[in-house]
Amino acid sequence: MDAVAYGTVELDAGMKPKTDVQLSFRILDVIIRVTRGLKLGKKAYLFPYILVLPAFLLIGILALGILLMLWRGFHSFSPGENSEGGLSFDHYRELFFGYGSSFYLKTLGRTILVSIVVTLTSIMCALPVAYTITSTQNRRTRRFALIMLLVPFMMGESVRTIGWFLILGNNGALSWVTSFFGREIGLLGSIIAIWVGMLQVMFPIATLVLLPAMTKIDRDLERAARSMGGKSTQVWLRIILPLSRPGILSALLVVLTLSMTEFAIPRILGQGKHPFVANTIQQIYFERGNVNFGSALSTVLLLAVVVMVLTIGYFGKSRV
Amino acid sequence: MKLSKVWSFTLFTLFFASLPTIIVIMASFNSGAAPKFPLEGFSAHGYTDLLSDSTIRASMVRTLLVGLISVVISMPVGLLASLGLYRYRIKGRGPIGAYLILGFSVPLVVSGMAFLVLYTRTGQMGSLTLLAIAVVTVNFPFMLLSIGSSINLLNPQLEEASRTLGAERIQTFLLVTLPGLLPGVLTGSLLMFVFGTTEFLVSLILSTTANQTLPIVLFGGLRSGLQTRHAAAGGIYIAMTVLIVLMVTRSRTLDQFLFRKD
Repeated sequence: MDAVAYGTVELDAGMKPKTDVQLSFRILDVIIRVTRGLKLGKKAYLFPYILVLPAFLLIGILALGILLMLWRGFHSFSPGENSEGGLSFDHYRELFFGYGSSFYLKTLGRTILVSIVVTLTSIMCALPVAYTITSTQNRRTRRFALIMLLVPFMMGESVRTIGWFLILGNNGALSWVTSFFGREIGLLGSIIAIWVGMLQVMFPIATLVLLPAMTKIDRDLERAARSMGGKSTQVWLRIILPLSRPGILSALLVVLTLSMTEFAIPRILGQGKHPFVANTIQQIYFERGNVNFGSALSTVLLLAVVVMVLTIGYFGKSRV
Repeated sequence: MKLSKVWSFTLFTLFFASLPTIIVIMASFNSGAAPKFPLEGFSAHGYTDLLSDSTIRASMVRTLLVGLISVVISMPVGLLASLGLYRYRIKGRGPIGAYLILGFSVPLVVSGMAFLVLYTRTGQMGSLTLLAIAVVTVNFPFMLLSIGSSINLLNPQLEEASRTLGAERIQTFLLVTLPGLLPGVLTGSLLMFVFGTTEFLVSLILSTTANQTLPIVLFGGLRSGLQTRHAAAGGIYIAMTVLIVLMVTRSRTLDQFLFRKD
């Protein structure tokens, strides 16, 4: 059959790539003929939309889920009978004014507060790191730093949490090391532990987000400032920080959004004593089986994140 | 002098970031049944236990499947979408782009709940394929942005040359454009794989006993009592991540994205 298709071309091992190309050209011919026959030229403006369509549908699953979640938050639900009631604000009433409302509001407040502290400290750590990485022209040093930043971020939430548990927990590395100084320090179950655990993953992310903005800073400005007697603090406050503002803004947005949804670290390092919203949502679903109430709390979290993002965006733009 | 201060701070923070990685690797070789400090002795029994534990083995297979499904779905879909979005003129690029990275902008726990609500409605909780689809949707921006930055690296003159030499549009696309996008597709695939196999929160919300992936089993270990085999699973994750990070940092796509000047 091959011999018929390719006429005199003999199919030995060396010829394989060539016949592949020919085959692809044959397919191409068919495609070209088909596309010509359809006269797509007139509707070329539709082409990019057709390309985007599969992705649009894929993300549509998530979008649909979010819409359904919003809808369910506004409908009552009885877990026992697993039946859904009519339109109601019961869940929101319970969240904000009900018996347990102080717990939910406290959880939301804690999530926001700790996330803000983590975000600010991450950016403070990330700025010098991003600065040194973009300062060096040595590709090897850059790559080394990138690897050191990417591995902890990419190895996954559960492995990271195991690592911190083995450091901070009972029989952990920290209590072992500090026992030589006559005092065993165990941070497990404290807000400090949550902060340390979150900082460790968030500042590499902040650094990666800062890199493009830092790359764009003209290093001659800094040299000029130094040659005219500018001190390091002045160089940082007057040149580097103002010029890396867009990067700082994006880092704020990214780290804040990621921190607000933190789950494993508060659960394990905080020992459940300082739950975040994500922990409470999961608890509501797993222990009470109330999907609708969980949906309502998720909606509140989504709204909180959207409001914070818009606020940062607004203040970020207004001062340019 | 001042620079060295910044440098030492950088080195210190990089060490801080690697601390859990180092500890997990050390603990995974502990000879005791549980990972604890001081380490009791050197042994690789954690890694051999891993293979004899049927729960962990089954979850590893599922995890690999989720990673592979992530790549298989996101590669064609992401390639087409990033071409449509960044290569051609399209009205509403901003809103469409923002919509396609919905997985990044929505908090993960909310995405998880959204999928939970959807899957309970259709009565398909516990399906591994659906869990993988949820993971793909959430991680999709990694593929989109990787190929997107590759598209920005393309040299438009190559395509022009191909056209003027008489190639059909589709020929130019398949023989000139596509090979140029290969590094981006590769980087995106590696990222999709690694973030697919390590995905935790969405998988946890969607997990039943039938579709538990490795991160969920490890989290269960954290709650019920950590064993050395759990640390060993962490060690395998670290080895995989280091390997993939080494590959990703080799290609120009990541550098182009991180040190972009546009």
